[in-house]
Amino acid sequence: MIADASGASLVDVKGLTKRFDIRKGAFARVAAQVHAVENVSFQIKEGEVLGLAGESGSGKTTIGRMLLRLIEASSGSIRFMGEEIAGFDRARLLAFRGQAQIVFQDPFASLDPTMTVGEAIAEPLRIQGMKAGSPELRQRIAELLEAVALQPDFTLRRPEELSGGQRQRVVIARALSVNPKFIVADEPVSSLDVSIQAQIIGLLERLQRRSGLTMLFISHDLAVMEYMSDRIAVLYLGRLMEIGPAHDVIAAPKHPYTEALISAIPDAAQRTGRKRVILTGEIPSAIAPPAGCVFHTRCRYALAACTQGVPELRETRPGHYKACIRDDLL
Amino acid sequence: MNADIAVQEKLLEVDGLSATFRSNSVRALRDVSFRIDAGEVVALVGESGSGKSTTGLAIMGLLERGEASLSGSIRLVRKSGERAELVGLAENRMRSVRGNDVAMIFQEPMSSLDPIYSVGDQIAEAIAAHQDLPRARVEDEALRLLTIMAIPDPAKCFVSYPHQLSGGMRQRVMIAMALSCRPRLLVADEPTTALDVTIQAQIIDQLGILQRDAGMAVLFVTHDLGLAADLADRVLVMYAGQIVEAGPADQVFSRPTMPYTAGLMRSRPRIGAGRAAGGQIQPIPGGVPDLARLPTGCTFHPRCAHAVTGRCDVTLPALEPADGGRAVRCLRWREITP
Amino acid sequence: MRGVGKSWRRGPLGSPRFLVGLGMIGAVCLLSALADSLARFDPTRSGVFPLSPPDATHWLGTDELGRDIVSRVLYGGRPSLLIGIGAAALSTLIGVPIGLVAGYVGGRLDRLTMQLVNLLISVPGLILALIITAMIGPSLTNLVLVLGFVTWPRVARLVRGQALAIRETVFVEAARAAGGGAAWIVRMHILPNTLAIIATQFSLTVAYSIFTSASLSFLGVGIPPPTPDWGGMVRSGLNYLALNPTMALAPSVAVAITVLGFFFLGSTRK
Repeated sequence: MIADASGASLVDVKGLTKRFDIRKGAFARVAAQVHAVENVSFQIKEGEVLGLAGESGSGKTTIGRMLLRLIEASSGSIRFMGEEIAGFDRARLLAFRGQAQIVFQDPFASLDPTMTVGEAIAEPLRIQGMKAGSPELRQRIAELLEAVALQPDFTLRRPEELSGGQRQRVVIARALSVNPKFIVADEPVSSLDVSIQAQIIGLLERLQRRSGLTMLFISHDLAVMEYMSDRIAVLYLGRLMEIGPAHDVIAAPKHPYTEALISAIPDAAQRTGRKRVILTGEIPSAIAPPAGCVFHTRCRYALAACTQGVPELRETRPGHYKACIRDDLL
Repeated sequence: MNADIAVQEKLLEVDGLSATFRSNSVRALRDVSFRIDAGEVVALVGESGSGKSTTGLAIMGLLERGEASLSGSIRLVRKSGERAELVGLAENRMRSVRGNDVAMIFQEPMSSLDPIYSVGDQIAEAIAAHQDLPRARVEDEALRLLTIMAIPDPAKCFVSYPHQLSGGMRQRVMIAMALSCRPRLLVADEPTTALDVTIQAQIIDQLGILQRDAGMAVLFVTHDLGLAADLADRVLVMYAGQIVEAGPADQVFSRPTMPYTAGLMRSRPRIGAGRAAGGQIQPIPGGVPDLARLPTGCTFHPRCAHAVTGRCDVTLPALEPADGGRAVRCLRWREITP
Repeated sequence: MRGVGKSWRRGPLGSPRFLVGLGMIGAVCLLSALADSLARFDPTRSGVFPLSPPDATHWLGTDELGRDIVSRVLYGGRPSLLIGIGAAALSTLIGVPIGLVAGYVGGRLDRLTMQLVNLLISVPGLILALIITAMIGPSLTNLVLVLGFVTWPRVARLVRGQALAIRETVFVEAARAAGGGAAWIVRMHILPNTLAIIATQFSLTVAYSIFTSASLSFLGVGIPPPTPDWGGMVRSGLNYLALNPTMALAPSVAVAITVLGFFFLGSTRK
């Protein structure tokens, strides 16, 4: 749907949908479905950072997991370097794991407490066939620790001894160990202290630039996302609301939801003279999402027509798309 | 926000407050002093281990039993006009202070709500405990509180159980319960950290309206500088158990004097000033110090770009008055302020 | 503030409860191992003074056949410890793999396994052991087999629960994202994170097995005579309680110390 002439796309997502079954009763009958992700399409070019923004229930984490085939899509297509990832056999999937990696949100949960830092960093390499204790493995661990600015003696430490920021550096070193082409960073700094966040953002930014890494940067923090991303996609209740160049989306949002989301961010540097758009109501249930545009229940610009059809993503400026029928706004 | 109040009435005065955890002898608070005037919103900002939550708990008298020893003083002007010393106050008298003069809301409202009672029962219980009202009026009052918290269907919420509500709704219920005693001071410990930004905006907006209407003072404990700037009249910045900068919010955020505050401001990317717009972030090097092994001199000096060997690593700076009604804990603030 | 505590280094050794348990078991093991040199009499040879009270020669007196009680208690620890440790080893060997597979694979396999396990657990262990031992006959090997069979379901259920919890952790998802298959994840993540629980349960199983084997001997289906064993000694001692109470008391105390020691080891939380 969203074709981009410039540059080859590394990840190409079309009509991606995920519905989780809710089972009930003795026979585990499917009682309802959670519409986690509905008909989402986008591409990520080689070397590009795409930000995926949204609140809880937006489906951003589910999309990240599906791109790595950690959970299977219900329908739609995900192509990685032109190949359909759903069709990967065992051997191709293992190779894919060496090309696409993930950094999780909580560095306290994503490291096995029984493993040393060295073992944690070595794990992906060992799965890819490198021998435990071999000189090249040791060499690689040392390089990776240096790349994430940790002392060499961290190899023998255990996660318990590390601060949140240090752990996240280990998680990043581990993800980079196999020299991946693509990384899904799922809220990589949101559980860290403010002064540590900046260190990790800076590290990710340096590493991404140095090796031309392609990245899906998932976050609810639009300021961090704008800083990290080339383009931003905004999700609401599993649907894509808006996608475009990062600065355009933040400075001149085209979708009413994006407008409200940006306006809700408290900013210490812009204390006065901001008028707030405060959304009414709560995020609707993904089990029975509203008909038509899923945002119409909270949208201050909603018309009767908004309850009718699901709005298509349309290009409003070159490379900037929105799923909203109202062209007279914003 | 309260510039029109000519005479500022002192409500809470914390003086030389120190707290030591008994289990590991860690000094979580060291010589913390500040005051809150009636109707004033004060933000207490800091990272993990800064002592911001400990300060809130100390004011509520929720620290003392066994886990930490307190010294210094916390004086509160009660509704009756009596000036009570909260440090060392007997538990039964502290309970009466908690029920009538100060209330607290937490980050995770689920843990403060009892899952087996309906929301209405719990609010009614809180009201009955604090106000002498006939039974029939208690329910009206509960519904009124739910209504002023902008809960869409108060009657339905009244009969709901905590697990049936969303995180945002639970936090509104918690605030309604906290308000049931008509406190003069509300201690809010990261009340919106677990919520989505659009829901956070709703609750902060609502809290602001209630605060102004009731003339209630709020101590807002948060790690989010943006939120602090949005809400507060005055800001207290804490680092490693000490207040390192204090002052009017617009002053502190527009021209931070303490290098730590300035560093925090620089380490957050600004919205609308991302990479494409030439935005920069500058992290503060290093990590938050281990409270059991604090650096000598100024606790921030190992991470500070302005630190001078022989001074900053030797002398512990005092919190001294600076321009614009501020106070700064830095030996070199005069030299480094542009 | 995190990273300050290095409690994992100290491990359970920091706990006095653990140390007391270790001391009790150490003493019991040492005395049993050195029985040959410590015992001053042959535990199976009858003497001419039956049921004599404690004196300078026989410190705890003699039993109904005139055998020295001290020597019999010293030697009697051997079968008890062998049975306890053997049964616990067998139950670990059966229970751990079954629990790991059921917990990690989940689904129908898990449901079926757990139904069997719950069925076995619902029958009182002593009665099950009594029936089987009565059928296949009492011997040291048979007792190990029987008690191992009676105790594995608890091990399996515990390990399965832990495997189920570890399976859902972020670090296991990270291992999957790194390409780790089921065998890798079970070996590298689930098993190491279950070891503490396995060790705890091992200790509790030893305690349970020693206790149950003593009960079986007491009920008459234990180690056949004349080999001394604590349970059997208590059984025969009860008949002569009025004449020489130490005959029942001494082996009872030995069982209690051993069982309590293993229980202390097993119930120490890290």
